[in-house]
Amino acid sequence: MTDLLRVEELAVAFGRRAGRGGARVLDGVSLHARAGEILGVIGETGSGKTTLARAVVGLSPVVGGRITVDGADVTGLRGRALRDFRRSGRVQYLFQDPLRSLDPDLTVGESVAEPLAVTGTGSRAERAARVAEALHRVGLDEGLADRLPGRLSGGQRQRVAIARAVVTRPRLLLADEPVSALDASNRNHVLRLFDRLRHELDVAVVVISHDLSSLAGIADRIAVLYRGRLVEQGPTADVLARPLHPYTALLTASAPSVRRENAVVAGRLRRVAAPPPWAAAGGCVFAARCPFADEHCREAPARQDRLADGAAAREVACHHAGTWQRQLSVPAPPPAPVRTPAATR
Amino acid sequence: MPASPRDTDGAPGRGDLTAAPPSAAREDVLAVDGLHITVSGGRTEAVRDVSFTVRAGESVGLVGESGSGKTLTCRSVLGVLPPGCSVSAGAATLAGTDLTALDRRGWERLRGVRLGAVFQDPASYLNPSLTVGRQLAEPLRVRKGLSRADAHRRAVELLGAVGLHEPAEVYHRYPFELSGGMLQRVLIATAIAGDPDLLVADEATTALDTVVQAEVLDVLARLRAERGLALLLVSHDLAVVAEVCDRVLVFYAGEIVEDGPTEQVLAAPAHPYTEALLRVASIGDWQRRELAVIPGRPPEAGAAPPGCRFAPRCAHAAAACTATPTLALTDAGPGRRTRCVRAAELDLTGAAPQEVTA
Repeated sequence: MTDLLRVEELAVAFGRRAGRGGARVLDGVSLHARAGEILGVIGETGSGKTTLARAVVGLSPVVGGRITVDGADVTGLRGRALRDFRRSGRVQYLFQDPLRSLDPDLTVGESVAEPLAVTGTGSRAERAARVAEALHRVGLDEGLADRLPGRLSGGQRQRVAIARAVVTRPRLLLADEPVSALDASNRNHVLRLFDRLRHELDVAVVVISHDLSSLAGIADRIAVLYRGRLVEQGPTADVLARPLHPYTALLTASAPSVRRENAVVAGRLRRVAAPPPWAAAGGCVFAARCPFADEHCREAPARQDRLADGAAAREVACHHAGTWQRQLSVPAPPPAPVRTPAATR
Repeated sequence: MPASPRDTDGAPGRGDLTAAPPSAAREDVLAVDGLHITVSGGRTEAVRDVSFTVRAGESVGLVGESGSGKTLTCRSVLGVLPPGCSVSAGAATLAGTDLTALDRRGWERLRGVRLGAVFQDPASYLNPSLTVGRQLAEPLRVRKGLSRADAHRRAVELLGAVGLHEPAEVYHRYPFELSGGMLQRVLIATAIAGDPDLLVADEATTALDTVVQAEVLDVLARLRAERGLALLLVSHDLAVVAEVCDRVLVFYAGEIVEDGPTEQVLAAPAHPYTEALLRVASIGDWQRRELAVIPGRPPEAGAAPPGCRFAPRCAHAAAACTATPTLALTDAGPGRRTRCVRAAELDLTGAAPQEVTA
């Protein structure tokens, strides 16, 4: 199967930093998503998740690498080419907060119809039929078409946003934190909807989240970003159950759970010592927070390919991948000495 | 669907987070009795008949969907109900002080001294033009009458106590120079500065990243162990409550529907809503799973359907559930209460291992 989205060695830098080559917001990021596949992208605030998605639609300043969507190179599109690409409706971007991304003065029906008007699709009657179909697809009653977004619940609003995104029958859907504003039950409703839509529409979906449990439920593969670098990617269950990168392990150990058994305590995966002095200057991006960092980590780790269950590909960027876990089996180190407050000035 | 037998003998090990086990005979720090709260100027009742206690050193979690009344309950304990909301009946007592009878002065003597609070968005509670150390030291001078030097020393100690590296350095930082997790630690330091009897944390970790959230929850657990601090934690995330709380109170549509020791509630819920919450909560099992949902929607704010308010969404609903105008919170074993008339006949599923479908 061919990849619908292919990102190769993507680098993004903003503003004045662009020229210096130093602090890049994204660097060397390579990933791909096939039609009908859900790719989860996880990382903390500022790790570059949103920048990555925005780069695909031409909203981030790309300084290196290549992005192809459905075989077409869309890297650094400008002017008319960028506008045509966006207006084609092949890629749709779903924003985090449906209350703020939906026009409060447009009814649900008008909001959902708007992308069709932009792409110039069909006659008025055809558009109305497409809107009804999109609302039906996301499980919204047609009677809601006359309502304003302010009159809807959070879960319904997010469905409207999804209906608006799928009405152009996109090939690729980029969803930026689609469920973080919803409670657990509504969250699962929306995630199930993504799962259904990717089968029905054969669309590739990239779901960005900082919440592991929402991705664990639906993503086929997961990519872990840390400070603009892709530190690990692979099949979701495999990556989360047997992380190869210490940061992924810290993430899974930190996720709150109603049930905790044989799990590694998060405290064992946090760095207690001060960051190594060279960490600010370069090397592995995670070194400053990694309890396993040593002299090897002064050099940024290359991407290593690993085979996982069923020979699905896994990738990790860590010098100690596969060996740091052994350090966890030794008894826990004594607790850190109580810090004595430094003398006041 | 969960298929394995209920995990009754080996209750889930909660790691090192539930520090001090609750001992039987400790005095109540907070006692809330029959609390009713009305909103929009008294027209609608948003919280009905809420009663619970928090003992010294105990950590109690309020969990529920948005609009369930958990935040209003906790705001009334702090005396910071939004305009238009008021306590219409019931009482709240903080270690002997009747909170419902307090005037503004009385609250000011209480808040920051015997009562500490941390909220969701730390940046909005700090003055952006003053260093965090100064904002932490000021109440120490005002409330505790410390000298400038003593207040500084104590502030640096507190910043260290909440796990900030190089506290003496952090003292001189402005809020914009610190990350969200660091700011939340600063606010926790402010909240515990007066050695309060009770710390209220209202969605205090909701806006934080997973890793930082776990660190802040660890700080709260450590402070409880070291200082015997009682904690009232409000969260929409059952998993967060499960990580830190000895006891959990489940709110639904303005009422407490279940109350009990966390481990028991998780292993064998006594209310179908708790069971439903457990099904949709993060289970910490990373195998691919069926995403459960709770059908229907909670009643509109202020709507008071007769009988059990969860009945329209409940898989176990029967005629008896809506036969009476209101349901009482009844005992369901030692230290446990439930607002379910069918509790005794139902066998509800807890957070037992899920069937792996991958």
